[in-house]
Amino acid sequence: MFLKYKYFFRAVFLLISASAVLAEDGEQEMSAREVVANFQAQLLETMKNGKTLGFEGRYKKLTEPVIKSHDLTKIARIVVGREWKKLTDEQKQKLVDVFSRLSIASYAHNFKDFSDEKFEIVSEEETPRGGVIVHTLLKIPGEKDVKLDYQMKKKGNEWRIINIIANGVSDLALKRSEYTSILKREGFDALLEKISGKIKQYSTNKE
Amino acid sequence: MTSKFPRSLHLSFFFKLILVAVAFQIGGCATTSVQEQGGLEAHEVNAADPYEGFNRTMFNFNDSLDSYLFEPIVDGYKWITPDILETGVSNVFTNMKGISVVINDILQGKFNQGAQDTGRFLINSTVGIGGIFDIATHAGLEQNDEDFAQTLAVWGVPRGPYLVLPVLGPATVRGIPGAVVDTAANPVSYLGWPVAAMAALERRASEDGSLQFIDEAAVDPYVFTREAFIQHREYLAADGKVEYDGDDLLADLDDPEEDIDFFSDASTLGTQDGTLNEDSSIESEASVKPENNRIQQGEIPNELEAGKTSEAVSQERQEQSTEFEKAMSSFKKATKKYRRADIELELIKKVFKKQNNLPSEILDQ
Repeated sequence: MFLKYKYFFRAVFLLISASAVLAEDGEQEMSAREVVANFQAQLLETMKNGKTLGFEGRYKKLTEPVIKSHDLTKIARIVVGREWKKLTDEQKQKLVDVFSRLSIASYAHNFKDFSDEKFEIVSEEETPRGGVIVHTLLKIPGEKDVKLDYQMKKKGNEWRIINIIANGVSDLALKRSEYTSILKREGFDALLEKISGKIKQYSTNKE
Repeated sequence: MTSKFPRSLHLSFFFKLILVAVAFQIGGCATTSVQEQGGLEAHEVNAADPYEGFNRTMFNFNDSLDSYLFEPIVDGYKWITPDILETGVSNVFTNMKGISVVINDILQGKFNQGAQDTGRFLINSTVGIGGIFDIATHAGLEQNDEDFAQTLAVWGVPRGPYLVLPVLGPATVRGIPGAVVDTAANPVSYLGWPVAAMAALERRASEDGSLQFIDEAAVDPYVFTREAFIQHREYLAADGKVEYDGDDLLADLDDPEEDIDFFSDASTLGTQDGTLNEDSSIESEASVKPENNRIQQGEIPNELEAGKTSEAVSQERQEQSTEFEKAMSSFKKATKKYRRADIELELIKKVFKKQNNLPSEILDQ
């Protein structure tokens, strides 16, 4: 009996969340800085409840904030570099899917608890190709500040994060080197398998 | 997203000894295993890493050495040493490095910073009792990160190829004279091998977090380490004023054809396996993700656990479909005014279909 309604409830849930998304269309677009501030606030919120939420809980809580503030499709496209053009549509979709889950999972894993960390937005800078870099600091008590620079690009009317540079280390460049190296050496399936392995590792890691 | 990445290790006599003793024995084995994986020569050479074959061998060698020798030692050290003592030991070695920091400040013409670091060294050596307590940081004199490799960079010496040194780990050609000069300027080098060994142990312990992060985050640990190392070293050499290569990364995106080819047609997305896609309808799909996830990981869906036959399952699915159609029609009415309603609908339908198809796929196997 319960099983019978499982899909029905799920469908209803999808409808509700979809209409919630549509309803937000009318709201004013956020600036690049606001998108970052908003995301960081949600990250902190999750960290504060991190221990009680557990990995699954954090994953669920961060799914929407990550998807809404990051341009995951564009990121997935950049990280495979020129190999993107060689992928079939099916492969592209699979990549975007698995990469999105990796992104959420790595946030859920790396921001698991709260010890009075703070984010501080320092400045904004425009880049030649019509992007913006939002310079921020992650302040961890008793440790040196971590410089986090968010590289933003417009997707339609919305600013989205496409790269995070932590103390000079660009996540995008790092992943691109890794992924293109694996694509060349071992192929697409091996890459997907490795990324899926990482997601599994994140989700099964003891807290 | 960690703040620290492994820095080039300083040469120490202790390490040199181990190097000579062990490197060539185990190094031989590692070479064979890499060649068995095959075909390195067939790939393009990375400009920053022309010796990738050799480097990967060394990387694997270091990795094994670390897992079997250094990591257990460090774990033991961390286990028996109270945190407060560990911090003290770490502070002492950091303080001794302070001399070479001051020298490099001056060589780079950063005289203000040099004065600051001198003050820092003096305060910590005296009030901080030989550097055990990092008083200076509390007084607002934060530790600056300078070394001779950075000085060479400031002087315009090119980075040179990336190298993975046996035991010592990631380096660049520029880093080698850098390490030699810094070692000479560090009192640790003149205090005998037990102190040098302790310094090496402490250094490895302080890198524990970074190494663990690489282990967790990297799909290709060799490439991850190389890129993180080179980028972070450039960042330090430029004192945090790094030019963004991001635009270079984005160059491919300027090809408008690619955009249209794949992403502008929303109706082609999400057909295969309820994948995430470009549109804001992503949220609705994401909510079913954990379920997909579990199925991909090989867990048995509920239907099968309950031991139902495929007929029963398909009948159930038909009923669900009817209910779903009803829900769909009411949704359509409610969202008529939104221009993207149809796209949303298509996607949701596809996700739903996929949900229904999954169990039968598994049955087929």
